Amino acid sequence: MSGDIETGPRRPTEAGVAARLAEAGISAPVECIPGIVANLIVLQDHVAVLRTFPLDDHSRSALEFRV
Amino acid sequence: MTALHRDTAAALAAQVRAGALSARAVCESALAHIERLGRDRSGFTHVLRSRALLRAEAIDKIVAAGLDPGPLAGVPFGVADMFDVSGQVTTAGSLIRASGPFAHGDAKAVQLLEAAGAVLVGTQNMDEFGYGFVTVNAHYGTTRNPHDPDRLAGGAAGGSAAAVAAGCVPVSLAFDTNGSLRVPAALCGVIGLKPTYGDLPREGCLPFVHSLDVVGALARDLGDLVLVRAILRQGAPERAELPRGELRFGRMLGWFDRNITDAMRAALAPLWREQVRVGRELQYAELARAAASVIIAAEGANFHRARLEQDAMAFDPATRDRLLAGLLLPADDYLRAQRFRQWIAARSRAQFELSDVLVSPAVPGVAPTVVDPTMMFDGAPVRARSHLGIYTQPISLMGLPALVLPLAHDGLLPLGIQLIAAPGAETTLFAAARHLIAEGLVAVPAVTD
Repeated sequence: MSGDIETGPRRPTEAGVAARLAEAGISAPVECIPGIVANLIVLQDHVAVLRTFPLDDHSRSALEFRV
Repeated sequence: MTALHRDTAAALAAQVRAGALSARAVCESALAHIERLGRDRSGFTHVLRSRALLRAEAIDKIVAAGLDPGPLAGVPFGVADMFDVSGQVTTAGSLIRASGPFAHGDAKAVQLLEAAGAVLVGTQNMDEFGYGFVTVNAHYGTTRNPHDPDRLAGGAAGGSAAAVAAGCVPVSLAFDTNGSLRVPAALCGVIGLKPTYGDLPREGCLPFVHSLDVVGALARDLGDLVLVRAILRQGAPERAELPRGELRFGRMLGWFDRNITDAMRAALAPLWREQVRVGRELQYAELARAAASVIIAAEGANFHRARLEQDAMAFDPATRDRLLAGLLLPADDYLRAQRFRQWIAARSRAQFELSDVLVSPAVPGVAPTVVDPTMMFDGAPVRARSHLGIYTQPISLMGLPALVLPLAHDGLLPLGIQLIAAPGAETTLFAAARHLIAEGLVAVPAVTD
């Protein structure tokens, strides 16, 4: 999945992020790369959580009631 | 000088309208207090002294002429520095915008409050572009918590909450994207309203995340907040009726019952015991937080891309690296987050068939310290900048209105809860707040100078 956020054991690396920025035509100073990697890892975790949700019309209600 | 500005907005306005107190004296009192506290403790980064005094004098002339300046006559207020103020730069906490452009006019919300007689005295500190929960700003400093200057005020609109808590102004206007005003309201011990998405005018406010941003308000007094909201809505009809009979409170469980500190759990116990009959499990709250984070990263990065590429090093590093990471998010994940948002927003409405108001902590505990801006999350220390909003983020994604209130408790530092209602049911939130105040479960803590 080129250009996709890696999931599972694959984590962003500084070299990988620099390459992806270049491929996307985004110019960013090299000093920013470690910070981008750290934040991308956080986003990667959010994306992994989000991808567990089956988006279809038959998803059961998200809400449960208990007394 | 007597602290004339310390009263509620309604009480100040009543005295000014009656000619018993001059708007200029109130304004001078507020300005002196802001100056005395300084930038980090007052929450104000830019004081509009000349404009405020001119405006106050105009109010006094209206009163002297036997006319009525309006329901907020002479009431000083502040705004987070993302509201346009005529002739000023709207910095949104950044240096990128510090040299311009200058705003051509006031934001709509500022216009409406001043048309009701209020006096804008300055703009307030925030996390750069609203991206954070701490108000630790590399350019404009760290806003200190008025209850303990060694602790954070919270963010992103920490200056607005601190200014109200410290008694500089009775009311501030701020914004809430993902908890931006609710988190600092909770940590500073004031009342904060995050309205239904789209309920209050955003014209003239610098956007951060267009699909989530709302304008809201903070105050020490519930009546002031109700009054300010009414003025900002310009008489628009309410979208929901008050429930008949006794209000039904529901306790948020699951995600909203995890990671709570012992102090918060103890302070909540009387509320659960005395007011709440049912517990409600909101499944997928973690997904809602994840979706909100993805949407904010993608939209925020998109909005700031040109500036990031032009001069990335001029950004606050904490904001810059988050935004640059957002530029690398696949469109598929952004769209997935938006589709999930539609799905959960529609289903969240069902919550309110059995409860009128849902209650959860607004933050896990008291404000973290400035020297160690971390908190515990699932057993591990994490950055407060990104995690203080764990309970506010899912509510933003659903587009629900929320009202933050300080719990009455024996501790020295504020602990805040959020009341949540169906879309458009802000009046239900106010009724619930009045009830909890009357029962002694909620109280705004005083700050000593």
